[in-house]
Amino acid sequence: MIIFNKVSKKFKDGSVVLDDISFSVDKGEFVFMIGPCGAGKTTISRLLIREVLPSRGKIFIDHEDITQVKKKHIPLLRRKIGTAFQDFKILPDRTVRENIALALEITNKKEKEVQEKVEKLLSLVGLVNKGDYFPAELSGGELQRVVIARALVHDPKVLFADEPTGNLDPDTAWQIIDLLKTINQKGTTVIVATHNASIVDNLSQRVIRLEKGRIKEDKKEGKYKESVKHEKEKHEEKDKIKVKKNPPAGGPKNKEKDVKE
Amino acid sequence: MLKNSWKQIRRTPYQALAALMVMFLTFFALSIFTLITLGSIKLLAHLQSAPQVIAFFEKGKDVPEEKISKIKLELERTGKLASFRYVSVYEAEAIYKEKNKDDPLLLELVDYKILPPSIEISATNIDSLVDLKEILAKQEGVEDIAFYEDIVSSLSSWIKNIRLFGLILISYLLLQSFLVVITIIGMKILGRKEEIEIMKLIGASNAFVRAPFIYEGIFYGLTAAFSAWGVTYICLLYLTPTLAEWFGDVSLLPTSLTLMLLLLGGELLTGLLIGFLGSLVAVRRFLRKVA
Repeated sequence: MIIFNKVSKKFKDGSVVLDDISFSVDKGEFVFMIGPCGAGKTTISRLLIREVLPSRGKIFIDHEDITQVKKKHIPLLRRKIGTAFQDFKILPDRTVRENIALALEITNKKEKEVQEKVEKLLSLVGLVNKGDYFPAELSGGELQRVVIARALVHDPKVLFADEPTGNLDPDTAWQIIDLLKTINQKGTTVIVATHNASIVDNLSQRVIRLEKGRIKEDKKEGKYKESVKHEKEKHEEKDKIKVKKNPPAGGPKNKEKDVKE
Repeated sequence: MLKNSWKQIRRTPYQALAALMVMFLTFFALSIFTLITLGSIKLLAHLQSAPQVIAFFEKGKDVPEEKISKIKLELERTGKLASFRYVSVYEAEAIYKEKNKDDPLLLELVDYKILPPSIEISATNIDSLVDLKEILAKQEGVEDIAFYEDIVSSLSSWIKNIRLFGLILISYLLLQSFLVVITIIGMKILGRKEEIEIMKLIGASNAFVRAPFIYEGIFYGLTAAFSAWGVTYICLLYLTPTLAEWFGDVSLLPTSLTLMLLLLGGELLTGLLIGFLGSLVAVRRFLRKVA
């Protein structure tokens, strides 16, 4: 379904955000993408909707190389990939209904059709009673639901949720994840970029761990803590070897401090 | 898309009003100068076809027919004569009576005995008038000559100047309207930067994003053109009795409906073009900055 083949992304300022990454996601999969800030998770979502082009490599969605898609066909590609943006990208001067309807209006759907679809999505994300609310009147969790609803308007094959549980309390975060699981069970491929260790650990889904633009781990039933712990241990081991080879000047006190760091 | 466009206009009523007012002024000036130009063409044609030289003979005595024929023949030989008319003292009296039928005192005081017979001529072109006038002046019994060459030529030059001034003013106003459309649509695009970015990210095509702005520009052009034409027509209808009296014999008014509809068509087309091109330039220029 989705194939990243030796993809690199280097920005104009010289920073390398993705460095020769390759992975694939099958139809109907639920994948967690973890890693520290700046690891390249958001860039992957931006590449998927052709907001940016890779510096090298190819990206396939349904066997189509999206790096070759003509500019005029980008809107069609974006309708295939539902994106729940990290910063929501919701219009503050429009109600929940209008925000969701906007994504349908861009395809020139009839008003009745738009209304029916919006109601269906509001019901799916549990916001039927808040359709006429403005974004400022909603909680973080509710906003996230609006974003997910809007991402689903075109019945996309893939839903990329970028930090959908960021800044949410554990209960609300679990509600959002439950919603994403429901969507996944209906056949949509779901990719979730997250920092939420408890959710990743409890769900035992495929985990792709990114670090400094590279894939450090890709495990079928991965765990957040395990993965990060493993990496931490590897770092500590390396540091110990370094310290042994090049003992710092300044006596045993300093030596001990450096090892801890 | 039309709905979106209308929503957009309603959201920023002051900008919309500014665009409409500036464009209204342009089309109002365009209407007025077009009517003045058309009127002046008609006026000039009337003056050129009217008697341009009138030779008056002795009061109260008709000129013998042989003499009239002789003068006519002499004038025709030049090949420059467009029209020739002899007005006898009785005809002069009849014209005088018709013109002053509402004033019994004037009618009482004047009869054919104190009115001169005259020969009224016009030339094929205004430059030939001098030659014809000289022939008439040489004729025996001619007491006075009224010569309109100066009036016609100075009117012609006035009209030329008015047309030139109108053309410059209208060009300036059209350019100004065009720039106002670019500026206002550009401001609207920048004001909706976030919305446009979001729309593009969720799959809106370029046409979907652009169309409401283009429609908005066209709406300004068409509304301004139509309202300016309407106001001009109402003013013209209101002033028609006064102006008709002022112009007297010149049949300029009332303006025909066909002419006014043609003017409306022309203005709507101009409005459409200005609105469309202005918004197109704005969309091409400002959308690149946004998305």
